[in-house]
Amino acid sequence: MDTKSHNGIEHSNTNISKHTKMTNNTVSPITNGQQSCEENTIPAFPWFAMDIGGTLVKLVYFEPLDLNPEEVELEGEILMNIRHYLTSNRAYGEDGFRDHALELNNVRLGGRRGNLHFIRFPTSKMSNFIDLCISKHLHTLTFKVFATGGGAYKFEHDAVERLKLSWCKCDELETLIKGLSYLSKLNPNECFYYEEPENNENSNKIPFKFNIRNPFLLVNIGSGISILHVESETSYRRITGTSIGGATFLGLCCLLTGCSGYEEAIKLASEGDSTTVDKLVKDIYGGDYERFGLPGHIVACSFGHMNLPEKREQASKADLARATLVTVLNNIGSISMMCARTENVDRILFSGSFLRINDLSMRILAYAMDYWSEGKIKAIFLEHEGYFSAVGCLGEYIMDENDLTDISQS
Amino acid sequence: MSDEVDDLSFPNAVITRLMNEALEGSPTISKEARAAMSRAALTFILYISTTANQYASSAKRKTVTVQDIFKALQSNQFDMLVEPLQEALKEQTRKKKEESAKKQQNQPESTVENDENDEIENEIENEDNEPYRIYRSYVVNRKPFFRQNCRRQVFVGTALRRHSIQENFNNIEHSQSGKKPYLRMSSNTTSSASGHEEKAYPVFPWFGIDIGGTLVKLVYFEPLDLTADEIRSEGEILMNIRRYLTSNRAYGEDGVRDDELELSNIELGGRRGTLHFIRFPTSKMMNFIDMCVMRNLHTLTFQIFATGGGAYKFEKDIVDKLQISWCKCDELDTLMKGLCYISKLNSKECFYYEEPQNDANPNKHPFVFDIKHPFLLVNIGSGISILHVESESSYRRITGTSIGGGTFLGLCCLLTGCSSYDEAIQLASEGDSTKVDKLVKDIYGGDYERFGLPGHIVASSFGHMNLLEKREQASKADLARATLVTVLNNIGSISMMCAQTENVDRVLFSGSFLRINEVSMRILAYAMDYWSRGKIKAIFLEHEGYFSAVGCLRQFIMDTNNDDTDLTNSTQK
Repeated sequence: MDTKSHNGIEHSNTNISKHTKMTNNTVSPITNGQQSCEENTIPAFPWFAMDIGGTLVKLVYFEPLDLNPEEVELEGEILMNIRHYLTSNRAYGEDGFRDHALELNNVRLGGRRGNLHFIRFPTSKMSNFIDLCISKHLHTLTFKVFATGGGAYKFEHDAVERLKLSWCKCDELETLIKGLSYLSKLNPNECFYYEEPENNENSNKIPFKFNIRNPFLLVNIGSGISILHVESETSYRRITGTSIGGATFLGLCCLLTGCSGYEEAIKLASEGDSTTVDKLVKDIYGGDYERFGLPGHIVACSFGHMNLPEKREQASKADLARATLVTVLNNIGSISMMCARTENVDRILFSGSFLRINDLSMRILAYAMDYWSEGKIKAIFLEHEGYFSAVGCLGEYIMDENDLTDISQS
Repeated sequence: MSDEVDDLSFPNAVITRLMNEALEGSPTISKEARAAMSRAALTFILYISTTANQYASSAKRKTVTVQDIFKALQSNQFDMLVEPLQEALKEQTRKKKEESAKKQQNQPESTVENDENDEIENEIENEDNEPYRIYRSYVVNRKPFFRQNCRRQVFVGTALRRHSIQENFNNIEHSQSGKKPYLRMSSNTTSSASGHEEKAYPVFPWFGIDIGGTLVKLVYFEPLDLTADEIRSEGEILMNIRRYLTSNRAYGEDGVRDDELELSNIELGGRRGTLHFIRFPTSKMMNFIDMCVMRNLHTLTFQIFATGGGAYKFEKDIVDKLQISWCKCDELDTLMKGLCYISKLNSKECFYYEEPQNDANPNKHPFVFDIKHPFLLVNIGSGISILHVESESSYRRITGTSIGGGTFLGLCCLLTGCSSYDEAIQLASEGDSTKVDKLVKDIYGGDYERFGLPGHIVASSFGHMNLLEKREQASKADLARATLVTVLNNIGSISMMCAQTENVDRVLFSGSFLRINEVSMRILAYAMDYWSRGKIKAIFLEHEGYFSAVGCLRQFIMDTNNDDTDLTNSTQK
């Protein structure tokens, strides 16, 4: 393999576009993270990208499958151990998880063939993670990590000091679009929609052939929410956002129900009945509010019953969890609808870790969009929910033109 | 259907004659009035016939009998007509028997049926027939039956909704000719000080009521210019009610009169008086009805215009127990009406904050509000409606959100154990929401410069609360504050988006959520100012959530007078 013939990055944005080209095992002087990112080479293994969000860290690891004998020899024990550790486990310590259902095998990236692994752990355990890396001697290696999300800025100093690696930061929304573009081309099953959202019998996840060149709205539901209008891979703008996001749901659930994790909160919500908590139009009008086309079953006021003690006693934890979920989702749906109308798009994509293992939320959103738009606006979901920024970050430094135009999982 | 209907009309002469019978002093009846009466009668016949036919069909008969008609009248709540009709029928039958007995003596072979039909037709023309006279006596003497049963006219309106009579009723200001196919209640024909004899004033007491999701807002007009005659005929009940309302500031455990909002010495509907603003929780509506019954309100005959969801939800209970005439209006229509009226009446109604973050400076600046320039109206009640307003009668509801005042109160009760709005607001004013919310700087370690989001902006509401140690550090006041800030930021954000889309530079905030809630108003003012870089102004209103109730009162006055002169004459003296 001749590393010198590889191009740099394909785009000519204002972002960092020059990359370090290093042959394996070259020790390059690390002066500061920024500088070493500006040279024009394919970086050394391991290839990691991290999206350090408000609540979760999303880690993408590229496991090379085409190491030639020379590379294997030069790899060194440390790197090999790390490779084995990551790919043979599904859980790391108490908090790390590898979403192996999302694993993409035999992908082409930066001219190499390998597997893409998707790993996550809570941002609150970032320090522990750094300790773990040190315990596995990561700090003795010289390599780059490509990082995005708020934590890429917040933890830069710690990471660079303790792990002595090269830290290359990218913008989270830029990488989100990139990652979306790449994965949607790579994985034909990436995008899907629900045909009959209210029908629990019918799983009806239908693949959606997604073309990034038609304008669409991208609603990224992380701790908080950003709404982007995307015209193409390189042309997008952030329209608005809201602070009532995934972490709001989780935080409120923990306060109201005493649960301690996301999975628990979603499980409770799936069992509850929000109408014991929320005040519906029919609770106020005794029926529909016909004048403005608001049917009786619509929520007029979230948590509207909870000022009355007797109602508070009747509402179970599951009901409260469900009401929290419905409140957050209705708000997202409502704001997304307004934006879609203003921007005149008919497709809304939902990304972000909030929709992880969250079939319930996706259906609620799909139904809401369908209902309020009278079927005109389609809600589309993504298999790799919150990992796009991390993938895009990887791509920022490794991807070349071939990766994007000639995508096929071989 | 309307084409066919137009072909079937009553002879004009008959209509005119019948109307003259009912009205004293042979007044002139305009052509349109006659046409309206003709159409009303026609509609009445169609409706009762349809119902009667249903009864006949269900009894598997093809002939519609007089009993079917009686049943139809009863089920459509025209009970008051049944009694005189039954009497008239009895009289009719008695006469028939007499005459057929006579005829049988003379001509045994004639069929009774034919004669009956002929004679009925003859008798309609004959004014002297006894049954007609009995019926007429009810109308001419204007016995209480007519007034007490005026609530029926509401149900006619409701029942005929499909014929869009209700539409006309709701949008009364749009029908410029002012002709309404809706029976107007007969009124106290007191001659007013201004000497307009044909001006009819609605019967006192004058109320407007807005029954919302959480609060009932009641507006009461206390007349200050009662004539000696009026005081005499007022009656003890009405006088007691007037005194009870105006001399107290609290009623029972839950009723409160916001006396600082009182507007004294205003002119409304040609009378001079004081407007009082009273509120109580909607959850106590049944108690309120009981209290009215206790004060014998149900023995009076009067009309109330009501709005809000509860006007529909509680209609049956109120009409059954209180026997009043209940006229429902749309809450957003009346909101607009009330806002226009009060903003013209009270020069200090609208205000804004010059320096919202500066707690030292109260800086409430009056804002001269001109309703003719387009603006956004954000009504923050239990839930929220956002309207784009171009003028008093031209507005549309753009959107709404369910995260409103009721959400703040409900969540506070759950999270802090407080039990009232006042308590929740007090807690919120003392707390620090940054212990609960995750800010941009908590995620980025500073600003998110790329998209212009400074570090102190909330990135994720309640974002810290998934961590146990953070939950332990947050106090009740902090939680209350975070709830408030979350609700307000959402309102601000959505309002901003709408203002930008609709290209308006003024956003008015109304609704009971901003009651005694200066901290909220400042937060909103600051948010609007910040995100719009000073281009969009947040304006607030003294009478927060009472506008719809005032609009109802205004509707009530206008409806009786058939005009809106109350607006041009209304100035606070």
